[in-house]
Amino acid sequence: MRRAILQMLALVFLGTAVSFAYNAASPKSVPISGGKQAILQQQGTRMLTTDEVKFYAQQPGTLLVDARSFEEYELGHIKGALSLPLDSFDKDFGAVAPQLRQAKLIIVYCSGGSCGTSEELAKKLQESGLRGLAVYSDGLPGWMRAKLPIASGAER
Amino acid sequence: MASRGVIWLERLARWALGLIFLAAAVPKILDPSGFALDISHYALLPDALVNVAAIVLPWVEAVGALALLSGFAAEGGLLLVNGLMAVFLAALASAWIRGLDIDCGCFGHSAARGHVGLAFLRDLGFLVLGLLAVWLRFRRLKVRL
Repeated sequence: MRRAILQMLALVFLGTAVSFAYNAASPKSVPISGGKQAILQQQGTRMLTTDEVKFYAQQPGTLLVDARSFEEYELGHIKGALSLPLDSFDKDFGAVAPQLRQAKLIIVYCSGGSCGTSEELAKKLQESGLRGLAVYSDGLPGWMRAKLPIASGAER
Repeated sequence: MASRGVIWLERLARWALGLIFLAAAVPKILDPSGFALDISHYALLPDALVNVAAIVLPWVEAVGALALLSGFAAEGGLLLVNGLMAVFLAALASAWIRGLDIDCGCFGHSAARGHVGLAFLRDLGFLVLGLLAVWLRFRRLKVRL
């Protein structure tokens, strides 16, 4: 049993050593520190806090985009936000593209920290040629916790 | 001495587990950023450890898989993949209990979200396979657990 445990530790050590060497040499390397924010920055997307979103939302040229389903959007969304569900991106993008292209800052959000939909949508928007993208990672729950204005029903 | 049937059963279970772990490791190695985002969605690790986990975990999985497939350090490989599976199951159970609607990231990053409960049940099956392989291997080599 002792031999098996030593083998396991050696395998973990080998895997760890190879992983850092590969990451240092790979064109797709990720920053060791900085967490999620560093990854998003690498992808050309900023990560914003509730206070920052509140500030930018009042500036001309800022567009908030809700990445959740249209049903969820209708139940409640950040006031003034546009609905562009990730699941129907290909179908709906054309309709909102002119508004998105005019925006200086596009802030994408979904249902909070454990929701990856906003990051996926930001990536898709960037691949569609849009710039000035940001993710509001606290999303609607963070906005509601701060008691900031929300709306319901269709706005798009 | 173990029968030929037991030897082959252990070998097949070990190879199957090796292939599963290799299939899980390769997409994560090729897209570490996506895997880092997947890990962050579980909200279990502090932000400072997310990227390190995304860099290290897939390679540890791959090395464990190669040990199982080659038979070199296979006992250590079996302990390693079963340990990893237990960790993955704990993470999935936690996400399931908290009702998180996330991509499990088990076989690499995907925009589509699957049900974490189904991923948990699938991984539970893999753990049973892993424990069977450990039992057969250690019994064959007369290793005391």
